[in-house]
Amino acid sequence: MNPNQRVRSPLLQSARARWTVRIIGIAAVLSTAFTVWLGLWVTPPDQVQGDLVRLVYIHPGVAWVALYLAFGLAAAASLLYLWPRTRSLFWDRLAAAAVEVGVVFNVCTLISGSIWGKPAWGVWWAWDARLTSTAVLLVLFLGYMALRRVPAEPEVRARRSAFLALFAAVDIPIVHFSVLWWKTLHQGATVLNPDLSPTIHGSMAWTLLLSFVALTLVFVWMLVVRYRIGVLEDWLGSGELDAALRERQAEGVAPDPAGDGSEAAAGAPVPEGVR
Amino acid sequence: MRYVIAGYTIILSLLFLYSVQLVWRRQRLADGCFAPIWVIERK
Repeated sequence: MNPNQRVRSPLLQSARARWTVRIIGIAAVLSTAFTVWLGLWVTPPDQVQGDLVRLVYIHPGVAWVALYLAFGLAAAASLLYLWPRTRSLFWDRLAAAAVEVGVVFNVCTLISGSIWGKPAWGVWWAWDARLTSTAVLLVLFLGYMALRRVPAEPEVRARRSAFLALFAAVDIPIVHFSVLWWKTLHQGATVLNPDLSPTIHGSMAWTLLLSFVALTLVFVWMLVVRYRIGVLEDWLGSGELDAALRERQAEGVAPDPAGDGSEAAAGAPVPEGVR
Repeated sequence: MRYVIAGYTIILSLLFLYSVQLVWRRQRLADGCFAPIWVIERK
């Protein structure tokens, strides 16, 4: 048995996939840098908020990634795992990866919102419906991450994690509609409002759109890398590594001619896409 | 403007540090799984 075969997965194969991830990473860095340049130096200050409005090019973007992309994807992947016809550990690993990246973006959302809140509202934090429901979402998905650390068989862990993800995802529409359902300090939706008519225009609108694209690219890159980590962690944790190492020892691996442990010198192939 | 600078600095730093951590974790695991056996034994 070739242990390298064990990590085959849709997100790990082929040199093309590896290059695609690299290109996404480079595009993410460039578009984020361009957004920062436009946001800090090119776009005009707001008539009411002045320079403070420049936070709009980062705060809604990280919130978009956390709430809709990351946690939305985690919920969808969990549903696909629970659905018998599509059940696969691929969906479980994808959900786990999306949740971890989403938690980072959720923390960024709360921090950037707090930094905006202090000069705008006079307080770092208020028990406002939008803020509180976002914090609850963070706690729920931190619980998801904690649950995954509980030792269990992969299928058991996947099933209970999927249920928790779906339970936590109920909070996503609550966060979104909180500014409509309750009187809040937080402003209403600028882009995804009920009329779907953005209340921002000109260079500010384009920069806001670019920030969404840039942070989405950052998310996709992080998601793929985190997914690969999940595959490798499962592989190590399952004890298959020990078995694979024993097999390789038994096969009598050729000594390293270069003496430096280099795989190329020894002819030990590294699975495509993992590095 | 200092709040804006603080916001950009903190958020971009967090995202950068998390990216570095992701790459480091992947590299460490990949070394553990796929390095040649004598490299693993040497470690």
